[in-house]
Amino acid sequence: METDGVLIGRSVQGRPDAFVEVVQRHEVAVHGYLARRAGHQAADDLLGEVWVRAVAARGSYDMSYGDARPWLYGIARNVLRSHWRTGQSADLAAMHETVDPWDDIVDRLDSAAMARPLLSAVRKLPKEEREVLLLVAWEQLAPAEAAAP
Amino acid sequence: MNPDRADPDITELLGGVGQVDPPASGALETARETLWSAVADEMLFTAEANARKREREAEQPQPTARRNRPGRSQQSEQRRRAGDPGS
Repeated sequence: METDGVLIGRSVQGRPDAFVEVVQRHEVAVHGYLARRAGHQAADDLLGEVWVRAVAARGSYDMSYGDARPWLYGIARNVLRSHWRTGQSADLAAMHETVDPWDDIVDRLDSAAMARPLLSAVRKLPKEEREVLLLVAWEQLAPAEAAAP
Repeated sequence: MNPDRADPDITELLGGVGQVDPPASGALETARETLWSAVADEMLFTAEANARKREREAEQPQPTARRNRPGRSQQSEQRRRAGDPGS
């Protein structure tokens, strides 16, 4: 089976339809990434935007990486940021340098009482470290993949 | 967090918390249609750009073929054979 890197390379060299196979490989995982952070409905709404941004940015993909998931999660994260920014008022958005959706995530996942202490502990992590932890715990990335910029 | 090692207990607990239902197939198809639309736009743009390039190339004057004239050395040889002292 060809790697994602090979398919993306082909899609850059005049065969953009090759990118569709990459999407088919990872669409459930990327939808899960979005759903865990913003809920099912938002995931349904935003998944297409992730693909459009990914196909537009594929020229910058490092073809030596066989698995495109970390790259796609990065794009999904940017789509989520845009989504959350548009949900805030302009003044509020201007007050915050970056958007932190963790409170919303906790609200959605907090139904299990056992989860509360764990989620509180995760809330205290710096955002970047929290994202790395969640990429490992939720998206099954290897720690080194999750920590890559 | 050490990128080479993640605490298995925390990742397992968090993994349980982060369980979500699989997406409805309709949602995946809708997103794929959005992608196909972007891909089709790009393919169309590329095809149009290639067609314009071919048109421009076709409009440019072609270089004229060189006539098969005898070269200077051939002319000299002919004059020499004819006894022309000018050779």
